Amino acid sequence: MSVEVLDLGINNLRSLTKSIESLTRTNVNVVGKASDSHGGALLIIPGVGNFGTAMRRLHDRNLLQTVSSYLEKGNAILGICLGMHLLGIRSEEDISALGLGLIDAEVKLLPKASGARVPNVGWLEVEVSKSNQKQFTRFSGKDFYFTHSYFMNPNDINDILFMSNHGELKFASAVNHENVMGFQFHPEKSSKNGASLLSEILIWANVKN
Amino acid sequence: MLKTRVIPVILTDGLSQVKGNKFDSWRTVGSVLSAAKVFSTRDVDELVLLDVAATESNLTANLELISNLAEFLRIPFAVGGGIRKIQDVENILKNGAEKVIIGTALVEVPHLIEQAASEFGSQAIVCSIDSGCDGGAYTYTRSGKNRLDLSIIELAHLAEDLGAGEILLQSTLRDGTLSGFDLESISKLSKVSSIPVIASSGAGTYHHLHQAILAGADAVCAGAMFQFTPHTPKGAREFLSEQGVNVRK
Repeated sequence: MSVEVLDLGINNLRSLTKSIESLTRTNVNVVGKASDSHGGALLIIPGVGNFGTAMRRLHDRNLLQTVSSYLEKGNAILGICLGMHLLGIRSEEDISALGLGLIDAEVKLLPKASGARVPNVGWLEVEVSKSNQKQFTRFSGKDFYFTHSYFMNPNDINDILFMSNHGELKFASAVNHENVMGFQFHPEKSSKNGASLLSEILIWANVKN
Repeated sequence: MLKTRVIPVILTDGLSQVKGNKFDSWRTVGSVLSAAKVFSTRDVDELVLLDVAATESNLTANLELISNLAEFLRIPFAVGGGIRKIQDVENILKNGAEKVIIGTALVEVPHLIEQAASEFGSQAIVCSIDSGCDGGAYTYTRSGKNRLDLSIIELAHLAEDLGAGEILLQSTLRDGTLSGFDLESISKLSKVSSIPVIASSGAGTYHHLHQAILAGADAVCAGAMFQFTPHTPKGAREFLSEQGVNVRK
């Protein structure tokens, strides 16, 4: 079954599509507007940029329809970095915009008070928080590449898949609620660990066996 | 804990890879794509690609290079050199780079930093500051051709206020010399900066990298060291790890 990626016009998709194509035998379909979508097993919401701009583009390009369609069919949705933030309710980055509301969480600015620099840039370990997703437990202690100033704060602890540290703050580096998953870091830019994780995500989403 | 990054730097004149000495005497030393491929197989933490000639035509030509790099690099890379317009930033990011590095425009077109940070996020914007002397009392723009009576601290405050996500601290005095970093500047800057500081210019040995980290750098760059000495990025991480530095294993 196939993988589709939303094109919000504000970020590069090549690394992501190439990474996934190297792990599956199908081409990744880039969806720039609702009519581009043929449906699939997994819809990826990537992201670099601004929460408000991204949500407005989602609306303008009729892509909320695509997201809803995946949800209705019980297929998987994956948000990466800003894409993960878009899964939430709202973000301090742009309080005028409402997120997709698929994860019960607010997005906040990383506090400087926690003793570490903002933005949070570099390789950082994750710890698995939710052990019922057995296939992800082996990523505990592994480094992934983070580059962000905002973080997601889920209201339900069961929605937290991975946790990481920013100074004294522990934050959710991955979230999961039913068939919706999000990662704060960039798996497609996290070398071997990232490729390995993408592989597991594709299995979880029933894209490959 | 966030790991300290060791970042190879590849310098280009728009056509090929180059090496210089103190921001001068540039000579061609190879192909950018080949150098990047080698670093990729060595699984480096990140890559920096800087165009030292930085002409208008280079910016366009480099987009194809960036796109080619994005095809095979599974680590982040930053691109800089001659960026003066928001369209330049957008083109570079859309073609696959994670971050842009903006130097001269910080002083000549400061609004660009603000606009770029707002549109793409601070984490995508690195400001480079070229120290002209040890300690950073004065600086340079335009690839070492234009001296400013502004200190590295003054420029860093400006960059941070405008929304830059990281500072790339270079030294026109030490670049390409393999004689060690400007530790005084690194120390001064890291004490006052609340955004990450990437130290560059002068790395010749693993020990130099360690000194820069002890002085407060969040990440260290090496250009000539990885190209012209037996030192490797992996060797650097191993050495640093043995010294107790938290690096990616």
